[in-house]
Amino acid sequence: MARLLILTIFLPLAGALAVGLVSTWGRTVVRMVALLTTVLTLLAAAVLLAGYRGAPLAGGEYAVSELAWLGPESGLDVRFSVGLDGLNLWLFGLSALLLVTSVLVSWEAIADRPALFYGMLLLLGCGCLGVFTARDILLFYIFFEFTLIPLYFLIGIWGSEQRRYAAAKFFLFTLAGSVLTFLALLAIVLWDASQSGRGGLTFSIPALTASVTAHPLPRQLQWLVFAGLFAGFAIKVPLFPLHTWLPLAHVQAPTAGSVILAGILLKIGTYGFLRFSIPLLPEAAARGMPWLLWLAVIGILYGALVALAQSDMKRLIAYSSVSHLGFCMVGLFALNRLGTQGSLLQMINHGISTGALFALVGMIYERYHTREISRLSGLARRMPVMAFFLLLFTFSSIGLPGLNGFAGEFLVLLGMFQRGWAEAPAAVSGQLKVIAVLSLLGVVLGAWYMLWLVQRICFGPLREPHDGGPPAASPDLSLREVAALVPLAVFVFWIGLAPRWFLDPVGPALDRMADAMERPLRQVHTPQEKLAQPRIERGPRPGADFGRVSASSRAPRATATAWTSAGKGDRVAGWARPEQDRDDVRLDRDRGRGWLPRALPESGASRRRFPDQVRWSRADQH
Amino acid sequence: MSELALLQNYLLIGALLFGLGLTGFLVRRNLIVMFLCAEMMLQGISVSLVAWGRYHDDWGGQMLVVFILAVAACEAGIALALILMLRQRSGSLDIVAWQQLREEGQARYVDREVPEEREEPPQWPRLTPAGIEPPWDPDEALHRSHV
Amino acid sequence: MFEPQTLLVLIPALPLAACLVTVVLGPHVLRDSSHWPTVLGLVGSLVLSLMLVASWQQRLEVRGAPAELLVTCWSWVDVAGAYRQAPAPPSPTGVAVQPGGLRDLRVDVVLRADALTAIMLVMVTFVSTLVGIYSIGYMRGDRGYWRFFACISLFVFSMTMLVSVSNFLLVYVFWEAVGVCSYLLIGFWYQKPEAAAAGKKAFLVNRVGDVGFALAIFLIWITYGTLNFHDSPGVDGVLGQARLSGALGYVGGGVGLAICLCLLLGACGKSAQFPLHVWLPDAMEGPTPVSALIHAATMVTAGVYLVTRCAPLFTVSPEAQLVVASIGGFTALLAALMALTQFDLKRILAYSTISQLGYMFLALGTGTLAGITAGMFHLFTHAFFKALLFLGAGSVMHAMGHVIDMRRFGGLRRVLPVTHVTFAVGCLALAGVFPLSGFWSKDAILASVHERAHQLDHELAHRQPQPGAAAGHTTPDRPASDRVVAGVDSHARWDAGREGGSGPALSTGQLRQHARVYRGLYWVGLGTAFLTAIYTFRAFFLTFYGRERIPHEAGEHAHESPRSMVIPLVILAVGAAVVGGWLTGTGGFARLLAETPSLTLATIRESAGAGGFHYDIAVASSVAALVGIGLAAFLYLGHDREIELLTWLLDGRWLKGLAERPWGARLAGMPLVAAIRRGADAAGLGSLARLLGNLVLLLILLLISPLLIGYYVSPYRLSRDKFFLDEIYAVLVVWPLRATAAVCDAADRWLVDGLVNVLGRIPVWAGGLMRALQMGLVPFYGLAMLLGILTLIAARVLWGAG
Repeated sequence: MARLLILTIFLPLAGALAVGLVSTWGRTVVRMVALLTTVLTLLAAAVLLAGYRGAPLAGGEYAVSELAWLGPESGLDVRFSVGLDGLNLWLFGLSALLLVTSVLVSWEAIADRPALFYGMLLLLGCGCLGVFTARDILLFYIFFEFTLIPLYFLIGIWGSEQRRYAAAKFFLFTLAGSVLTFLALLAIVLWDASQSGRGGLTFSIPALTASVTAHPLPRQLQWLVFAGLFAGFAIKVPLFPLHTWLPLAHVQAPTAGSVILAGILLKIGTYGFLRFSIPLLPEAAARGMPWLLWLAVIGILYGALVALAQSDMKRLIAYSSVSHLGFCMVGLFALNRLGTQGSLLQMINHGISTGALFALVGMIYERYHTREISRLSGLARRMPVMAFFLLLFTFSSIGLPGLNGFAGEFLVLLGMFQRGWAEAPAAVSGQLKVIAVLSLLGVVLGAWYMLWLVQRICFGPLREPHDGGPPAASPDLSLREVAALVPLAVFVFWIGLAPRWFLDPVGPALDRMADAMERPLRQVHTPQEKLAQPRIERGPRPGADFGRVSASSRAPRATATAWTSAGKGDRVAGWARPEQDRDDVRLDRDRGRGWLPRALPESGASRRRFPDQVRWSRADQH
Repeated sequence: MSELALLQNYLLIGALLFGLGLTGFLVRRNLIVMFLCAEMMLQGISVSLVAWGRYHDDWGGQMLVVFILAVAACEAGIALALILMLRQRSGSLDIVAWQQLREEGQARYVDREVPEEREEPPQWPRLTPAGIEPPWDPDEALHRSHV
Repeated sequence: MFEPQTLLVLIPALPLAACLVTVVLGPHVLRDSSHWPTVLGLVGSLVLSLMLVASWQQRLEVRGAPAELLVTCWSWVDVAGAYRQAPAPPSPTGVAVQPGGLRDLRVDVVLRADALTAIMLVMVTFVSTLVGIYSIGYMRGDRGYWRFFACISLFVFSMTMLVSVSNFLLVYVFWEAVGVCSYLLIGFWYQKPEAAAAGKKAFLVNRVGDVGFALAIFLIWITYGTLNFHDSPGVDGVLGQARLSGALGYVGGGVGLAICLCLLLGACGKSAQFPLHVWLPDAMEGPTPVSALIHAATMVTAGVYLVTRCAPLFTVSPEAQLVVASIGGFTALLAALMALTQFDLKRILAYSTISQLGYMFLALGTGTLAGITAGMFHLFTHAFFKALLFLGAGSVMHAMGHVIDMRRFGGLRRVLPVTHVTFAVGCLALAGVFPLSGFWSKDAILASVHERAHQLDHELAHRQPQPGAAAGHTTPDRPASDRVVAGVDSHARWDAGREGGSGPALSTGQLRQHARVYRGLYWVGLGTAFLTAIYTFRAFFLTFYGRERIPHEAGEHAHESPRSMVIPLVILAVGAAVVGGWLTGTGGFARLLAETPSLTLATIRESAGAGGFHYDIAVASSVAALVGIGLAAFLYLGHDREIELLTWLLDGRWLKGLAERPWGARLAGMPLVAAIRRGADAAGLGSLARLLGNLVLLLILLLISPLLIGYYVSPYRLSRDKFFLDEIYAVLVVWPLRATAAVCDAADRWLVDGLVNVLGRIPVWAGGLMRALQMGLVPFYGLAMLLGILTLIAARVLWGAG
C-alpha cells in the first residue's frame, strides 16, 4: 500500500510528462491523456481510502513509507516519508476527486496551448497530493512551495484581464508567508535536536510531535514559532486581514484554477494549523485561542458581508469561501474533539460545494462571457439542469441539513459552544461566548447572500446578455459538464446523510492530538502568575537553547513538573471541580479520549504514547 | 635556497601575474585583451597553487592546476567563439559596444571625442585700389585728436 | 396486519419513494400523469398512519405497555468522548439533575411513535392527501407539473419525519427540510420576481428562527449532555423515562429559561408568531394548494408541535410559559387586526392562520394539560377548516382566472355553488360558531386560559393567610440558578397539584403578576374571537354576495371547479363540521394525547384542572362570534355605504378636514386681531405685533399637530399597511446590513488591499535607489567586484582576526 500511495502521488507527474510528449498530437489526445491520468489517480486514491477503512487503525496511520533521502548518517535525517492518517485522509481523497473535475471543466474552455495547461494542472495535482500526505517537514515544505508555481502559470497565462497582476500578487503574498513558515519549522527541528538525545536533526513530523510533546518549547519561543507558522498558514487559509489575494486570484483564474484553489489549496492552510501549529506548539495554540477565534469569526462575518455587496459571481463565491474557512478555523481553535472533527469535515464540504460552485460559474461564463450578476436573470428557464445543480450546491454551501455543509457547520458550532460555555478558561469565557454566538449569526448571512445570488441569476424573467449570447442549441449543461458535477453531488448527499462514515476514521489521529493538547490546555486555565513564576526562573531563553543541549535539556523538565503542580492547583481555580476530576478518574470508561486533563498526566500520557514510540524508534534505525 | 624563500618567490610571481591580469581586465576595453588578462589572473592563481603544493609537498595543488588548465582550454575555446560572434554583431571588439544590460533610464556610455577643427576659408587683407584719394570723413576729422 | 415498527418506517418512506419516482420519471415519462406516484404514496401513508393510531389504541388498552415505540434506522454521527460534563448541582430538594461524566455525541436516526406523533401523522397525511388530489385539478397543464408533485411528496416526507424523529438535532434537520420545501414551493412560479423574493424572505426569516432553535440545541447539549429524546443505554434522554418519572430533574433557572426562549424563537419562526410572522403573508405567492397544505395546515404547526413536545422543559420556568402565552395572545390580536382590512382573499386567510396559531401558543402557554390538549386540539381542527378555506379560495381563483383581489369580483354564490357552501362551513368553523369544530377547540383554549388565571388566583388566595408556611419554598429572592423541578419531590408535587403545575414555586409578587397577565390574555382571546368573526365573514360576503362581478381574466369560463377539486372541498367541509364535536363528545382526543410520554410528567399530569366544558365561556365566545358576524353582515352586505362609513370613521378623513382648516388666515382675519394690529402699528409696535401673531400661529399648529398625525397614522391605515412592520424591519435590519456590506466592500478594496499594495511597493522603491549602479559596463562590474572583495578582506582583517 505504501508503494501505491507513492505511485498515486506521482501519477499526475507522469501524466504531465505524458501530456508533454503527446503535445503535438492535438488537443483531443492531450485532453484524453490528462483525463485518463486523473481518473487513474482517483481510482488509486479510492483503493487507498478503502484500504484505510479496512485496516485495523492501531496507530491510525496507513500506507506509511520511510525512504531515506539524506540518510541519518549525514546527521540530517530527511526522509521521503508519506503516509495517510485521519487528518489527511479525506483531504487526499478530495484532491484526487477535484482533479478530475478540474480537467473536465476546462475541456472546452482551454483553447490555446492545451498541453501546457494540462501539464501545469497535473503538476499542481501532484503538489496537492504530496503536501497532504508528507510526513516529513522538508518534504511538506517542498510540496507546499511546489503548488505555487503551476498555479502561478495557470493564473498568469490562462486568466482573464488582470491575470498578470493577480498571479504576481498571489505568488508574492503566499511566498512571503511561507518563508517565515519555513524558518519556524526549522526552529522546531533545531529545538528538537537540542532537546531530544537523538544525534542529528530529524525532520519527521510524528517524531517531532512526540518529542515536542515530551519537551515543549519555552513559551516565548513558542510564541515566535507560532507567529512564523501563522504567517504562512493564515495567508493560505486566508484569515481576515490577509485575504485580499484570494478574490483577485479567484476572479482572474481560469475555472479549473479556481476549483483547485478554492477546493484544495486553501485547505493547506487549515491543514497546516491542524498538523503543525496545534500539536507542535500546544501552549501557544491554547493561549492564542481567543485571538485566532476572533480573527476567524471576523472573517466569517466580514466575508459574508462583503460577499453580500458583490456584483461579480466569482468574487461573491470567493468571499463566501473566506467566510467558510472562518468556520473551519473556529472549529480548529475550539480545541476540542467536536470542533476539530467538524472542522475537518467542513474543509471537505467547502472543497466540494465551493469547487462545484466555481465550476458552475465557469460554465455560465463559457456561455455568456460575463460574470456580472446584474446582466443575467431567469436562467432557470433556459438551463433547468444548471439551475438544479446551482440550487443543490447553494443549499450545501449554506449548510442545509441533510446535505454535507450542515454536518460540518453543526459540529464546528457545537464544539465552539462547548468551548465557550462548558470548557471556557475563566479569563476569556465571556469573549468565547460572544464568538460562539457571532459565528452562529454567520449562518444567516451565508444563507442570505447565496440565496440572493440564486434568486438574481436563476429566477425572475429571463434576461441574457447580447454580446456572445448563448450557443444556438439549447444552452443547458452538456453531458460532460454533468459528469463533472455528479460525483460532487453524490458526496454532497453522502456526507450529509451519513457523516459518521467520514468521521470515524479520524478518531485515532485526534486521540494523539488529545495527548499533545491536554497539558497546555490545562495550562491556560491556570491564573497567569502561578504559571509565570517557575517559567521565568528556569525556563530557557529562546535562541540561546540551540546547541547547548545538555545545559538546557534539564530546564523544560523542571518546568514541566512545575506545570503539573500548577495544573493540579488550577483545576480548583479554573473550570472543573476537583471532586469531579476524582470521580472522572474512576468513572471514565476510556481515559484519554476526551480533551480534558487526566488525573495523572505523565503516567497516562506515557501509556498512551507507547505504540508511537515503538514505531518511531524503528523508523529511526534506518 | 630555502623552501620558504622559494614559496615566497613563486607567490610573488603569482601575485604579480594576478595583479597584472586584474589591472588589464579593468583598464582595457578590447575583448580579446580582456580575455587574455582574465587568463593571466587564472595563471597567477595556478602558479601560487603549484607553489603551495610544492611547499606542503602534496600533489593536490598541481592536480588542481592541471584541472584549471583543462578547464581554461575549454573556456578559451568558448570565450573566443563568443568574442567572434560579438565581433560579427557589433563590428568592433570594443566591450563598451555591449551595454544593453543597463537599467532603463540610464544614459548610454559614450567615449568623449576631440571635436575636429572646422575648415575656414583664409581671410586675406583687403587693400584700397591704388591712385585715388581715400574718401574723407568729416566727423572722423572732427574727432581726430589734436596733437 | 403490519407491525407498528414497519408502519412507522413506511409512513415517511412512501412519500420519499414517490418523490424519487416523480423526479426520475416525471419530466420525460409521466409528464401529465406525474401526480400518480404522489397521490398513491400519500394515500398509502394516510392508511398506514390510521392503522398506526388503531394499533396504538390497542396498545394503550394493555396496561404497562411502554407508551412509545422506537425504530433505529442508522447512526448519523458518533463522536466518542466528545464532552466531559461537569455534574449539575442537585436540586434544593435533593433530586439529582445531571451526573457528570464523559459524553459521546451519538445521533442515531431513530423514529419514535407515541400519541402526539400519531396524531400529527394522521393530520398531516390526511390533509396532504386531500391537497394532493385537489392539485391534480388545480395544477393541470402547468409547466412544472411533475416538479410540483415531487416537491409536495418531498415535503410530506420531511414533515412526517419531523414529527416522528426522536432527537433534537434530527428535528432541526427536518425542520429546515420542510423550510426548503416551502422555499421551493413558494418560488414555484419563479418567473414572478415577487414569488422568488417571497421564497427567499420566508427562508431567511425562518433561518433567523432556526438560529434560535440551534442555540437551544447547543444549550441542551451543554446542559444535558445528550440530544436524544429517548433513553439509550448509559444515556438519559432529555425526554426519557428517567426524567419524566422524576428520577432526574430538569435544569431550571437562567439556563432553563434560556433554553425555553430559544426554542420559542425557533417555533416563532416556523409558526409565524409575532416578531417573525412577516414571511407568511408573502408566502401566499405560492400556488394555492401549497398555501393550504404547508402554510396553513401542516408546516406552520411545527412550532406548536415542538413546544408541545418540549412541554417538560417549559414546566421548570413559568416565565417562559408566560412569554409563550403572551406572544401567542399578542400575535392573535395583531394578525386579526391586520386581516380586517386586506382585500387579497388569500392574505386574509394567511393572517387568520397567524392569528389561530397565536391561539395555539396562547393555550400552550398555560402549561397545564388542559391547555396543551386544547392547543393540539385546535391545531387538529384548524388543519381541517383552514385547509378547507384555502382550497375554497383556490377554487375561486381557479374560476376567476387567478384573480384574488376581492374588489374585482363578488356575488359568486351562483357561479360557484359548491365552493360557496363549503366556504360558508369553513367560515363558520373559523368564527367558532356552535356546533362546528372551531367552536369546540377555541372554547377549550379560552377555558384553559381562564382556568389558569383562576388557579393562580386560588394559589394566591391560599397563600395570603399563612405566609410563613409558604415562605419555605416561595422566597422571592431565591437565586434563579438552583431552581429545579423534581417530580418525586413531595413538596414540588404538592405545589404542582395545588398551583396547577406551574413548576417551581413562585414568589407572591410573581404569582399576582402572572394571574393578571393570564386574565388579560383571556380577554384578548375573546376579543380576537370577535375580530375573527368579522374578517372571516367580511371576506365571505365580499366574495360570494353583493353585485355579481367577474373580472375579465376569467373570460367566459367562470364555472365551478372540476370534480377532483370539489371532492376534497366536500370531505374537508364535513370534517370541519363534525370533527370537533365528535372528538369532544367522545373525549378520544384528550385521552389519546394524555398518553404522550412527555405529557406524563407529574407537574403536567397533575395540573389537569377541571378541563371539560364551560358554559359561561362558551356562551361568551359564541356571543362574540355572532356579534362579529352580525357586524360584518351589516357592513358588507347590501350597499357599499357602510364600507364608506367604516373607512371614513377609521381612516380619519374628518381629522384631515379639521387639520386642513386655514386657522392662521382665519385668526388673522378676526377684527379684534386686526384692531390690535392697527393699534400696534399706530404705536410703532408693528414688528412686535407680527411677532406675536406668528407665535400664536405656531401655537395653534402645535395644537392641531395630533390631528395631522392622527390623519396620517389612522387605525385603518395601520391595519391595511400591516402596522408598517415590513417597513420597520427594512429600516432596522435590511438597510443597515446592506450599508455595512457596502462599507465593508469599499474598505476591503481600498483599505485592506490598499495597505497590502503599499507594502508591496516598498521593495520596488528601495530597488529604484540602486538603479544608478546598473550602467551595463563590464569593466565597471569588474571594478565593483574587486571593491567588494577588498571590502570583505578588509572586514575579515579588521574584525574577524580579533
